[in-house]
Amino acid sequence: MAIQKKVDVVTVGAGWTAAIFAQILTEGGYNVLSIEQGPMRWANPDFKHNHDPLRYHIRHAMMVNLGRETWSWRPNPKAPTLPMRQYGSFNPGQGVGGAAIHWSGMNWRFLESDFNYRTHYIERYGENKLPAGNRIQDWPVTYKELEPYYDRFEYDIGVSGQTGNLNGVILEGGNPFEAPRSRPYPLPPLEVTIPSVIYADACRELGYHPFPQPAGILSQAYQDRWGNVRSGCLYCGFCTRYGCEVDAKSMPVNTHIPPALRTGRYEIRAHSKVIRVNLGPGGRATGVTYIDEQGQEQEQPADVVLLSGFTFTNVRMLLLSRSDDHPNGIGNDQGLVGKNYTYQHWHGVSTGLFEGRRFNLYMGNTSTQNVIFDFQADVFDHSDLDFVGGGMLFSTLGERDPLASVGSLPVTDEGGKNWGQGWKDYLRQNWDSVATIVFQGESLPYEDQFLDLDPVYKAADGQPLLRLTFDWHQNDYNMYRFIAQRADEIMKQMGPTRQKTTKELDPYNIHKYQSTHPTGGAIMGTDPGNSVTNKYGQVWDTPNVFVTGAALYPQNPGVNPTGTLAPLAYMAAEAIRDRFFRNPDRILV
Amino acid sequence: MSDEKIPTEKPQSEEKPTGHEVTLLLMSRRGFLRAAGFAVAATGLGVVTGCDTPPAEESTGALPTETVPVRAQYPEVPYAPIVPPPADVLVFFSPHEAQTVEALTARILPGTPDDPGAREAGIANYIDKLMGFNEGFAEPTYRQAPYAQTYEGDTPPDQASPSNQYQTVWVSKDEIDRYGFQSLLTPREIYRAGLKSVDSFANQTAGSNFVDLSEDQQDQILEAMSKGEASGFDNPSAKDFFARLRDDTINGMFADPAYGGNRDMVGWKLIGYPGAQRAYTPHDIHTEGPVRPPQSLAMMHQFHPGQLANSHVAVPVSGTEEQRPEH
Repeated sequence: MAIQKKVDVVTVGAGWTAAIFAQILTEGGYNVLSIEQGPMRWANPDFKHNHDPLRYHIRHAMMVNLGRETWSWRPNPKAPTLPMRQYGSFNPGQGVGGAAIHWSGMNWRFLESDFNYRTHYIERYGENKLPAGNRIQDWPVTYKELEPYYDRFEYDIGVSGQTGNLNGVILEGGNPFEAPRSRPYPLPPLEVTIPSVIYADACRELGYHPFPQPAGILSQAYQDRWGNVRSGCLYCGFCTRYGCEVDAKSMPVNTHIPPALRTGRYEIRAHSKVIRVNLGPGGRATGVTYIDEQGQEQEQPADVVLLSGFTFTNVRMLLLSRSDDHPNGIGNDQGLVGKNYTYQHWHGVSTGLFEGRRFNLYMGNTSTQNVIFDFQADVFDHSDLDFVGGGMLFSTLGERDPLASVGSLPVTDEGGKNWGQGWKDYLRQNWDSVATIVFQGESLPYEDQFLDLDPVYKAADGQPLLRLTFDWHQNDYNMYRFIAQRADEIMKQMGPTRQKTTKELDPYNIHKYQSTHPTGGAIMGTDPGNSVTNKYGQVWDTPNVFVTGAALYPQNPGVNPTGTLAPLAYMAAEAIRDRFFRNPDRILV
Repeated sequence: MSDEKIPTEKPQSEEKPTGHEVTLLLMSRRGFLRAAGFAVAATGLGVVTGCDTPPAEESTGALPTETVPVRAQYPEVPYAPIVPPPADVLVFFSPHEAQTVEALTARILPGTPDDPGAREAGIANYIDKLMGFNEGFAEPTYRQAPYAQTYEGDTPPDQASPSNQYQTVWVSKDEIDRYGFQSLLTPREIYRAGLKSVDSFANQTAGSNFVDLSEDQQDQILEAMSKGEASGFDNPSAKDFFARLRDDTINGMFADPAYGGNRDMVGWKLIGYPGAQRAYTPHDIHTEGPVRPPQSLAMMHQFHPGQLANSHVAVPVSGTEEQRPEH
């Protein structure tokens, strides 16, 4: 094992939060090294000929290679565990830029009540409203504290959207329920699909408040504060699960990584996989050990270790890194690593067939559509409802390729024959005549829902896989039933020829894609008794290890997590740059 | 059974490279940094190591010789071939198996020369070449034991059962579907066993092999398979094998023609999908009906920022100030 030259900060992976840290810390004069398991890649040439849905969508070309490492799952602590052998529920990425290369660009802020969830519900409805066995807790940070960082991130990457609440003033056409923003979106919203227009009309007729999806995709050309100049979206139809060939989609490789590299103080070591955080005297981290491209173990000393991988990676690294001071892993002195694992609902709820229409849904992307927030979080009264929380309803998404869509046709409740001449004729007439309303909803933490190390299955690095214990709870079934009725009513109002609504939620399964939004497992909190880290992601029991990303979320709101994990990274990186190195053993306040 | 070579090898030809080939050439190790775009090239300061090499060069099929993993042991997803693989060369199926696959898929998506279906699109060719790569696993798959066994009823077989001398994960038959793909068999083994079962069921119920039956008789067999009512199937089950055939028919019919199916883009013409396009305008998005003739990866305009992507849209320049208006 060779020992590499020491750096100030080493990051696990070169995804978006690592890139944000690299940009902010190298600007402050520190050396940053990212150790990334996947390849180096840029829009040009790596993404310039990738319009191949078989390779990218069906075969998951940009995702973590499951041959090497996967995640095992069981629905509850009494059920048998099996590894996820092929992709299903979620799609963590590999390679420089991480999942923020193949993300769909849906870019949200959380609502104010998402940050003080427990307090909010108890004040409004009383203690008994929260479901049994929950581990819901307030975040250690408020919306107000995070707003300047939301604002900076959105201007740094060029978010497209329609402003709904500017400094408390509600603006027509935007999201009237959003938390107040200090500046409008930097760019106007993206174009929306035909069924999204029909959807918006139907929603308004029913008294709801449709608005265009805010997107980390440029609606027009944009130059950021570092001088990156990027194209507006071409609506090519190859977006989620692809890299953007014209840099219209915001990705770490066209935002934060170029200015970090330009300082000369940032290095990315690709095809190299961190296998543990090394611990030294007093339980402090001394760096990491990784396996390089040739399969050789290397030791990388560093003053600060940043766990900036995907949710699962960060939790697994904490659990795998042990010493006499931390016999159960870093951050786990109180047994809290892996707790508060949450996910998100993502279901096509109601589908309508519009005979004779051609919707061109193969154009655009996942963000070219309208949304309502009328059933999000607690913006609607839950007094007479048998659940807490909610989610949003999307109109029909773009970038609908045949490989991922013909299999689920025809639209019928009777389970019509899905092969043969009749099916072929149906596809010919109706493949592009279908609109779907999608529900994305929040997920709460429970005692019997957590992450730990699998006792049986191992990754190619010889260490245990991370095991998920997760299933939906009664609150989820009740919430889904209520939301599905609303979606059914909206679809009816849209006037399809035929309509199919899934009225009840099925138990969780790991084979159907439902969003790459697993969160929690290394949550932030106000003290070591309720959390693994403080609000900067600094691990209570190992102060020179920091965690970034959605692993920090105590529970998962009903919108995509990326828009919030980036501002959290800004706040933490600035705290490290300005305050940490003066006194590296101290917990930041 | 030896590993077949990946169907993505670059042919050694002197022909002018297509757009796709240019991409692969640019991704070679030496060419990478030169072509890697503005960020690295413009600065020369940042350090980027461990650059990617195309998968075509890295899959050796060699057995692991060290305890530490090296990338080559876990092939990534293959790139689309530059030209479609020849339909008259079989890399996995026997001629009889290929004919049976053709007959089966032709009942899932029937066709005539005027209205092409699975046979005319070359689906059997697509599946044969799929089987040629990594035992048929085009998608990286976790293959570590122990595998699952299912049981019916409330409790798994007791510890005294002879099958319990081996490590097994017992899962209720009602629950196993929640766990996704858990087959011990490779796709190659699934096809070999499934096709044998199709013929034995055909012989048992209709007196001859599947390919020799009338279309009506073939439909009855597929119907029985799809409902799980066909006897004699063990692993894969009749229902699973039907689902696999249907999935592969869809993938072959609607994937890029480079993979050997969707010949002449007949699948895309059937449903009105224009394939691999560079751009649509907001006007296109709101104009119902076909706005472009279909186009495959090989037909795609070469990507040079600033050039016209097609008759309507200029590809904007990434990394410069320049952008041309649409229309």
